Amino acid sequence: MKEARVILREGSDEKEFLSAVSSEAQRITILVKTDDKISAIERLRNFLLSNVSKTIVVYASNPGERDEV
Amino acid sequence: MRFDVVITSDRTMMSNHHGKEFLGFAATGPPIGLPERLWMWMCAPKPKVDKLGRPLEAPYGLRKIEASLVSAGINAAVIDPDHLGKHLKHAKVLMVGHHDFFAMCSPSIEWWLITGSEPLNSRSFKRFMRKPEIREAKKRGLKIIVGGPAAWQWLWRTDYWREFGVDTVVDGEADKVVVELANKALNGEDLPLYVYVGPGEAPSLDEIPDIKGASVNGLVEITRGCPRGCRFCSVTLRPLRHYPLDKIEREIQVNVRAGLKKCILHSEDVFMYGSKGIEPNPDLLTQLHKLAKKYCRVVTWSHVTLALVKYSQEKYNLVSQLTDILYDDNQEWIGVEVGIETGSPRLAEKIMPAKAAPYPASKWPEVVKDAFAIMHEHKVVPAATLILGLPDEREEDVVATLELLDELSNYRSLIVPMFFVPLGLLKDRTWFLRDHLTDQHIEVLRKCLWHSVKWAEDILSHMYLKGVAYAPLRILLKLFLAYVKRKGREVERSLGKAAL
Repeated sequence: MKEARVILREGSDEKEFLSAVSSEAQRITILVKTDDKISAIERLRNFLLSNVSKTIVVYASNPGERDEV
Repeated sequence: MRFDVVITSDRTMMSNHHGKEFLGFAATGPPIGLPERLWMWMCAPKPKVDKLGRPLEAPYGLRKIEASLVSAGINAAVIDPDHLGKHLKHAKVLMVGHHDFFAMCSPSIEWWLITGSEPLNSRSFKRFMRKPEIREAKKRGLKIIVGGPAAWQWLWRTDYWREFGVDTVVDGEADKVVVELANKALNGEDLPLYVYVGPGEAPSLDEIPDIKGASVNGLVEITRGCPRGCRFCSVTLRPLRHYPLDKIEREIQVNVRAGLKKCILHSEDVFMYGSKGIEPNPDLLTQLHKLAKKYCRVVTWSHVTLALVKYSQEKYNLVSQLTDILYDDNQEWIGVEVGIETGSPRLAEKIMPAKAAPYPASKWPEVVKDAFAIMHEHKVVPAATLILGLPDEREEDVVATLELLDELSNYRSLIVPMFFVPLGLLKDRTWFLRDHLTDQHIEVLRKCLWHSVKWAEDILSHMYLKGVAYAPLRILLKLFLAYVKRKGREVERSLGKAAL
């Protein structure tokens, strides 16, 4: 299964995110760097609501932590 | 005995509903006309539990999660919500499933919008999550994972996500991913906030373990998924998989060993069991029903489609054959859920073109009428849904639905109109709310009300809740129907409408 991983930071360009979600990958792991974890969901809500076909996994971590999931 | 993972839900879910699962639908409404405690007793009494607080019967979805975890060697159990305290002192993970966490599904949202009062399912769930034992355990590091068919609601209710300290929300078929999540939690690894399991990662039949404990009223899955592709539906996004007969038999045996004498065959369309595409498989269906009846006094269906009711009977005489197998001294009728959704061929073609298959969508009203006639003749009592406010709905579509309702008035059934909720391929569309109601919609609500009240009284008098043991419930429901009739007339007078 094709996978894509993307990191979303505060104020980051959405191009990388849009590229990952529109790719052929059937599983997308998104790491959102944020001080408030639930705000990650609020930021992604429209995308999550519109997605029906891909497996999506969302992690959130503080901006100072390592970029790993 | 201690469990590392506790699986549970609130009382409106954790109940066998007096052995009458349709009564559970009362939890989708607010307690009107009766005190809340009485309403709760009516639709969701406490189940029997063992000395560890494990319920004799639990929702099938929770049993599947339990089965996945136990099969993977994880120390997990379904626990009744009133018995959590002693387990949460030691458990590391709490998993909570629900059909409608925040009353955002139909019909809950509709009853809320019409009455202005929060439905019981949502009240009960919030009270449950605010239990002191859960809050205390959370402070000690308990991980909370929620899921089920209503998991999408958490995306809209992040306020409660924060308040309840939910760690992970899982949407989709969780049979495989739940093991991965439990292991992460037990090993102190980071948990994802949110997981949506896409159709590409749906578990195969071999990856779906058999239930280990009994399910509410003996429900067993026979098929997952649906090929019809109705745009408003989330289940149709999943691949179609039919359980082999031996797997179904094993799960029926789990229920029988627990003392249950009833079986609910669960599918989006029981007549599609073992089908090639949508062509029914009469031999396999006959074997399935004989198998279930061998073990259970009463065998019922969860859902059928009207198109296959008509087609199966016309081509194979299948409704007659299957009811002949099921009906005896213990069982004289069968209740089932069906979808009408609309009486408009135009809207059917747009939103659910394959719902009428093998008939064309242009024939949808005729399919509905013929199927209702067949069901009436065979004492199959449908609880049917309509959807108001579908995207692209026009006044003429609602008028077509009104005309169809007139054609169905002589068929024993309940017809419940639902407000459109964005799900499935229509996930990103606009909700249908009270402000969107037109005169035609109100007319649909009125016709459905009086149709369903008339037939509910008939069903209650002749078929449902028979026997002395059910007398208190029967009386309560009759009181409720009397209240509904009185209120319905009051509303009609206030709207300047003559009685139907």
